Amino acid sequence: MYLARTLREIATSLLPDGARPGAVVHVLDLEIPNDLDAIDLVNERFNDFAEQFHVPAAVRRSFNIALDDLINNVISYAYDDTDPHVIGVVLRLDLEALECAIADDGRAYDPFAAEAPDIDLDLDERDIGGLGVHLVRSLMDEVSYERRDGKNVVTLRKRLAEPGSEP
Amino acid sequence: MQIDITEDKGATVLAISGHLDTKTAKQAEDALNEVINAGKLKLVVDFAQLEYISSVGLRVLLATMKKLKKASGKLHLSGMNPTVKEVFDISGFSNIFTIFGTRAEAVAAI
Repeated sequence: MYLARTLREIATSLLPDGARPGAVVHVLDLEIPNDLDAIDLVNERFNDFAEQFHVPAAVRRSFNIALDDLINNVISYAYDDTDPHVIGVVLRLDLEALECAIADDGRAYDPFAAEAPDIDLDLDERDIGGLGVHLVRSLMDEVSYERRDGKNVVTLRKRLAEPGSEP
Repeated sequence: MQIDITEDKGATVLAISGHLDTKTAKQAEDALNEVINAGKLKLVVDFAQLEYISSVGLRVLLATMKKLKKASGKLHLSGMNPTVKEVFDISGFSNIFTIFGTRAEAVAAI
């Protein structure tokens, strides 16, 4: 599929160059339909990948949440039609960090441009709008958005070890 | 996801295992509504076997809390792993919900 390959290539091209000399790099490269049921398949595949390469549980869970919230947003809100679309998801692990890029061909939208929700409201005033993106931004060390070749590409990065912790 | 529902010293305990996200939120919401509609208003939701929760899962808990408040019920949460706790802290939900370390503590306080 030309579109899928393009989305994956774009996603991959936007990941910062982590291939330092001597660094071991593992890649999980997926394409999924714009179907909410597909999110679970992404997380299943990602969990296998994370287990195989010993990604720490806290990092794995943070990406589980990010994949669920971000792909849900794309599938629920990005498209102006009801046609099938492909979403590219690339995860890349090296010795320092796990990175992810998600690419879609929906309308231009930067999820990180929105203001953070007011998390100090009490129960009656709280709603859930914007909370998913707020979680992602907080759980990750770095997030970015770029519109490239008519596609939205979001990238995420989280270090495998907390800063200052023992290697 | 699996939800085990048990009665424990006057509380109804829903132990949720797996993940609470896009795929499972509806199932969790249905289970919580069923319990509330049966007139059980003192609930403990135990997360000891929960891997992670996304904002879609938080939405279910928020709706449940609002329903229980209206009905003068109670909702206690317990057993969060560090990531689940972090999500509650980041979202401000730690200030809205009553959270205990263990299921036994959550039941005893209800």
